[in-house]
Amino acid sequence: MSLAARLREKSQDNILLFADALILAEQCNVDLLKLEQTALENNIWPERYQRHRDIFSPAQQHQLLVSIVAIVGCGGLGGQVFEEFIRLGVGRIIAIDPDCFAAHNLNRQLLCTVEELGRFKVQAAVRRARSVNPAVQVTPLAQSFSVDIHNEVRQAQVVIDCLDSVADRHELAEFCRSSRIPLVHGAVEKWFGQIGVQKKSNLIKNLYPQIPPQDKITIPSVLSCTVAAVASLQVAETIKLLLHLDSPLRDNWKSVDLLNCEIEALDAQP
Amino acid sequence: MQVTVKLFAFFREGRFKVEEREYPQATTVSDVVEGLGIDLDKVGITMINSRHCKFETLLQEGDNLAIFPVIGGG
Repeated sequence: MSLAARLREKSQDNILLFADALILAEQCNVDLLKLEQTALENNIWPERYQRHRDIFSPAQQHQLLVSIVAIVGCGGLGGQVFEEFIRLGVGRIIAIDPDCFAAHNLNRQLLCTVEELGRFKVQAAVRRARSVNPAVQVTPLAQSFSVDIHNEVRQAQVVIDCLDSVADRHELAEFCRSSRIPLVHGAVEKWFGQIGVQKKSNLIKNLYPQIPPQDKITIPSVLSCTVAAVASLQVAETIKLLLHLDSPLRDNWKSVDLLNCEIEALDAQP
Repeated sequence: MQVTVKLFAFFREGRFKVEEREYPQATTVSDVVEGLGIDLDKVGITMINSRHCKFETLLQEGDNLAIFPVIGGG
């Protein structure tokens, strides 16, 4: 019997229970991601995505499951973005960060737990995906963004900038521009942040016209609510890019102020 | 001359969100920034009437100047 026929047999009201998906994947010797993709191709919803049914079509959920994204920086923004992607069902995530967790990350970095202190952030991401959505395939790269991993990152349909250095942001933005990959930018400090999407423009260079000298670089204080808010906006923009939905944020940006509860559109013209 | 100055993010702390202010002729963007006690190195984008401008740009009567900090955390 084909996998599609087995899926139809096991599903009820076009829903495939999670427990049945695990059993079927083992019986049919297919990975969970492939099984969920096949289910959606046959208009059968994996149970975990049941509450997306009034938002996405099966074809759109399938599109997310076959998508590849790269998260550059897996600290505050990156950890939150990662969490939302695995729950959404973005099929493959390239997670990039050279650092290990330290106790000062606990206030805002979702993947940082007491158990994970001292461990690589990208390895914590792998463990998190396994416990929340084992169908998602994570490629952990415990290194800085550099030419060494350009080929790996070029596979991504969207790159998400969760970095914390202006110089690194410039390098990533230039890579995305020359590789024609949309870049979803986010940055945070205190109660404030910004979100933008670079497709064809020089958005990042406009936002950061100068690379600060080393002696002027300070480590910003950041609240967990600011991180979650800006990361969620980055995820929303990524979904729209992956599903080819319109957004007013293409080659533009918004300023986020949680203290005054404002998201301000600038409609900036160079 | 009168210029509307709009501050964003933590530049608002201890200052204001938006204020109409008086400046002499030939005031530049950097004059306004420094006059507010803001370190030029902390400034990301400056815009006059929604268009990007430079520190040395001269302000005109009735301009709207927006000043954004560099926000770099991730």
